[in-house]
Amino acid sequence: MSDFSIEIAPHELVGIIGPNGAGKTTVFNIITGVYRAASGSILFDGTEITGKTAHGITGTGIARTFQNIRLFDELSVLDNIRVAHYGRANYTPLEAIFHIGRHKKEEQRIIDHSMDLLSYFKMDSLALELSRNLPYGMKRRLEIVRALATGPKLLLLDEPAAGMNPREIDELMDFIRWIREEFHLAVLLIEHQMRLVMNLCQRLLVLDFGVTIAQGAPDEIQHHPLVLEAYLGQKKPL
Amino acid sequence: MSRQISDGDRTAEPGNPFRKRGYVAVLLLIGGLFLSFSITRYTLLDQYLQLILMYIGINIILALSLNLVNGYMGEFSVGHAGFMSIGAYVASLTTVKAFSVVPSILLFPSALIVGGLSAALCGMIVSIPSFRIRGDYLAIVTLAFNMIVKSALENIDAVGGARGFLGMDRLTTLPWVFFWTFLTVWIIRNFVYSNYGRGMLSIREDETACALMGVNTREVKILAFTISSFFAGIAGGLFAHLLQYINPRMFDILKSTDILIMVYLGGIGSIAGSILGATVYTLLLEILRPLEVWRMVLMPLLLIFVMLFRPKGIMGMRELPWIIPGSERLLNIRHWQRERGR
Repeated sequence: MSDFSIEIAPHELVGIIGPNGAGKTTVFNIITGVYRAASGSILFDGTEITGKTAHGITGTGIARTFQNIRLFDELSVLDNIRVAHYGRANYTPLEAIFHIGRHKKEEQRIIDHSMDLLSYFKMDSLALELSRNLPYGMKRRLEIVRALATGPKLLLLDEPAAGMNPREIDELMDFIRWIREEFHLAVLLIEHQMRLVMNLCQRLLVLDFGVTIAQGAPDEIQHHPLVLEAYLGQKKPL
Repeated sequence: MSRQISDGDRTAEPGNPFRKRGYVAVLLLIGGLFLSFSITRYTLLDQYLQLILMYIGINIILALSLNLVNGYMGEFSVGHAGFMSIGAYVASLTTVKAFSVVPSILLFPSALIVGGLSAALCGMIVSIPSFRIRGDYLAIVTLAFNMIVKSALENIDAVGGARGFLGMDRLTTLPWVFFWTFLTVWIIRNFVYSNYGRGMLSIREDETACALMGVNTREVKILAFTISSFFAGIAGGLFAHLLQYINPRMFDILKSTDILIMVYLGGIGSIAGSILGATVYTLLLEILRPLEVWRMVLMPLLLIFVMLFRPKGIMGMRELPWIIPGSERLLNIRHWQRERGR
C-alpha cells in the first residue's frame, strides 16, 4: 500500500473496489489495527487511533466483518453476540470469579441487549444454536449483527455479498441500507459485485496494486479509463 | 452456554426448584465438609481409601486448572507440574519456617495461599509469551518453564536440592482437600461463565476475530494463566503436605503429562469432564496396580482409544446441567418464554 487516503463522513456509504490482490482487505486490516501502518495516521471522530490495539480501536466505534466468515463456530449465536460486549461489560475479574457485585446486573444487561439485538434481526429463535450449524446466509447476517453488537459508528464490511446469488444480493442491499439508517452508521465496504456497489454506494474508491487509481461517484467510476484498464485491460464500459 | 443445553432446561419453568441453585452449592459444601470430617474422625473408610480420595481431589484441582488454559482457551500448556512444584515448595517452606510465628489454625491455609500466589506470579510471567505465540511454540515455552523450575530446585540447597525437602507435618486432611476442590470447581466455573470466560472461548475459536470484537486478549490470557497456575500451586501445597516429602523429580514433564492425560481423557472445555477424568485416571492407576509395569502400557492405550473414538474426551465441550450457574439457566428459560410468547 502506498499513498492511500480516505475520508468518510458520518452516515456515508463508501465502497472500495479493485482487482484481486489490490490491497482492499489490507486497508481494513490497517484501520482495525490488525496490521500497523509503516507511516501515516488514522483519525476517527477527531482522535488519533493509529497504533492502538485492535480491541481499543473496536472500543472507539469501528467494527468489521470478514471476507471468509469468522464466527466463533463452537459458540452459540447468543454467545457470539455476547463476546462482542466484552469491552462494555463493567465488572472486574474479582467480581467475575466470585460472582459478586456488579456481575449479575451486568450479565443480565448483556443478555438483554444481545437478545434484543437478535430479535431485531429475527434471529432470537436461533439464539442457542451453535453458530457453525447456521446456513450460509445466516452466518453472514450473524457476522454483521456481531459487529453491530460492539456499538460501532463505522461499519466495515469485507465482501458481504461473497457467495450470494442475485436475489440474495438484492436483499443484502436493502439490508445494508436498513442497518445504516437504523444504527446511524457510516459504512465502508469492499465488494467485487459491481451491481451491488454501483447501486448502493454513494462514493467509490478504486484500488490497484495498493494504489488508489480513481475515486468518485459510481457512474463516474464506471467510465473512468484507468478503472477500465485495471479491470479489463481495455477501454470498454463495465 | 448453548453447548450444554439439554432438553430438560428448555422445559423448566420459572419458579421451579431449578431456579434457586445458590443454596444447593452451599448445601453441597456443608454436606461434603461434614462427611469428610466424619470420615476422618471416625475412620469410616480405611486409611488407604482416604488417601486415594485425597489424591482424587488433588488431581481434580490440577486437571481443572489446566483445562482452563488448554481446554477453554485452546492454548497448549505442557508445563503444569512446574506451577505445582512452586506451590509445593513455597507452601512447605512456609509451614516449616513459620510454624512458630503463625497460629496453627491459620498456618496451613495461609501457607497454601502463599504457595498458590507464588505459582500465580509465575503463571503471569509465562502468560507474557502467549501474547505473541501459540500452539506448538507456546507448548515449547511452557515445557522449558517446567524444566527450568525443576533444575532450579535441584540446585537450591536451601530446599534440599536434588535430595528433596522434608519436615512438613501431615497437614493435608480429607476436609481440606474437599474444601479446596470445591473452591476450585466453584471459582473456575464462575470464571468460565463470565465475560472473561467468553473471552477465553473466543480466543480458542478465533483470536484475531475476538480481538476485533473488542476482547482484550492480553487481559484474558493473563487472567486465565494466573488463575490456572494459582490452583496448580494450591494442589502442589496439598500434595506436599500429604506426602510430607517432595523432590524436584516429582514435578518433571511426566507429571505434567499425567495432568494432560486427565484433562484430555475427561474432556476439554468441561468442568464435569475434568472431575471425571481425574477420578477415572486416579482410580484406574490404583486398580491396575497389580499389573505392575503393564499398567504403564495399559493407561496410554486407554488414552489412545479414547482419542480415537471420542477425540474431545469423554465430556468434551459438554457440561452437566447442575454445574451451569443459575443465571445461564434462567437465560434458557427466558428464551423459551420468548419463544412461547410469540
